[in-house]
Amino acid sequence: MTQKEYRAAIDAVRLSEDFQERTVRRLEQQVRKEPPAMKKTRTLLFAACLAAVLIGSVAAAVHMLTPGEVAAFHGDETLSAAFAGEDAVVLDQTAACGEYTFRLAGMVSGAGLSDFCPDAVSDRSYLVVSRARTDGTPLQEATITDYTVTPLVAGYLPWEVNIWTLGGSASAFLRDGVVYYIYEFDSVEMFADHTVYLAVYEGGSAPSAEVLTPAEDGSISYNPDFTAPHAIFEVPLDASKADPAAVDAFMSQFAE
Amino acid sequence: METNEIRRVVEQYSELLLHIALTRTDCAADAEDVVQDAFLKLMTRSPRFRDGGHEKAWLIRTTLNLAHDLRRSVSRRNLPLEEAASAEAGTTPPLLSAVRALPDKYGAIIHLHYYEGYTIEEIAKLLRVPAATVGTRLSRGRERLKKLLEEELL
Repeated sequence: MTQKEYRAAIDAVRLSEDFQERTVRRLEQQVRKEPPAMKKTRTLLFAACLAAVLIGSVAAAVHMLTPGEVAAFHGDETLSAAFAGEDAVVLDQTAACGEYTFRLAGMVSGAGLSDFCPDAVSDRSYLVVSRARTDGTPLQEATITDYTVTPLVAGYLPWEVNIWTLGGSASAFLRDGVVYYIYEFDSVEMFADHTVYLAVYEGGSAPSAEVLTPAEDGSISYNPDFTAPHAIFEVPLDASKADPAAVDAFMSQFAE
Repeated sequence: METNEIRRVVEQYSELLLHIALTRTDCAADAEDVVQDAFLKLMTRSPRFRDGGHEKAWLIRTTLNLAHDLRRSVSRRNLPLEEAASAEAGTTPPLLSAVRALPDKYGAIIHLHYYEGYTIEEIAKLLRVPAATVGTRLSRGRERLKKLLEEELL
């Protein structure tokens, strides 16, 4: 079979000429249906936030989605089920970062945990993070590139072990004024016998010496000269899941 | 999602997704439904992506998942597939019928390689499957396809 024969077989099928127009119309209709509901939600949310401010707790007004709910809303039922499993790590840590509060909700690692890559044979870590304005004002847009969220590992240089080198990707959606992110990268459980961090900082640049400073004992902190909003979490992992051989194989890419 | 954004996504990805869906569904009408649903999912879930490549990969995987779900639901309802595909009866090229008969794991890779011209490494990235696995599946998919086409000609 040649590429030409294959293309001819596919091109022989007649598709609707107006598919694109019909699709755009259907999607636009959906958008037109949405605004009243969204407006109502925003109004209710505003009222809820106002009430919450009065009683001194904004967070209590908005139901924060669990990691499983975030995965389900993203359309990934397999990942949602994985977050309900015993291997999932419930973190629920928060840190202020600029005008936002980031919440590290949970993490799960393993192979074949996502509907979007059911055949993946290598272990991947899936991390759910949320971002909300600390003052309770609802966010209006889900953005990814204005903040960097990356795992780091004590004892390893931040520019060698980070979300870029671990083949990471991210997706996000907005719900009730809170942005929820699912970060996916090669499993960090292989580093479980080291301290694993999750660094959050403003800007979309990869970790560098201008941002982060590895100390002699291997711990990682922010460079004192880095003044942009930033935060760092520690991710508790089961040290028995460490895989030094996998770490050696991963680090070999940096050997000269 | 704004109207301009809807139009951009539909214009940019319709052809690619329709062709993929054609190979994983039983008729053009099903393929169109699946791709519309994938766009709808993109719009209602509003995921944001690091770059266009990630957006494309998300749409391809969502289309493949939806096509798989549709086929499974048709099969569960025990509807005759020939009925669903009646509009195309007698007009489907044997090669396309053979590709449709391949398991999902081979069909999508065969299509992305032969129609879209993606390399093994590019397919691995799009489907998040190791490149070695993509290579093996491409090779096995070709063998199965050849066998199916030979049976068709007998």
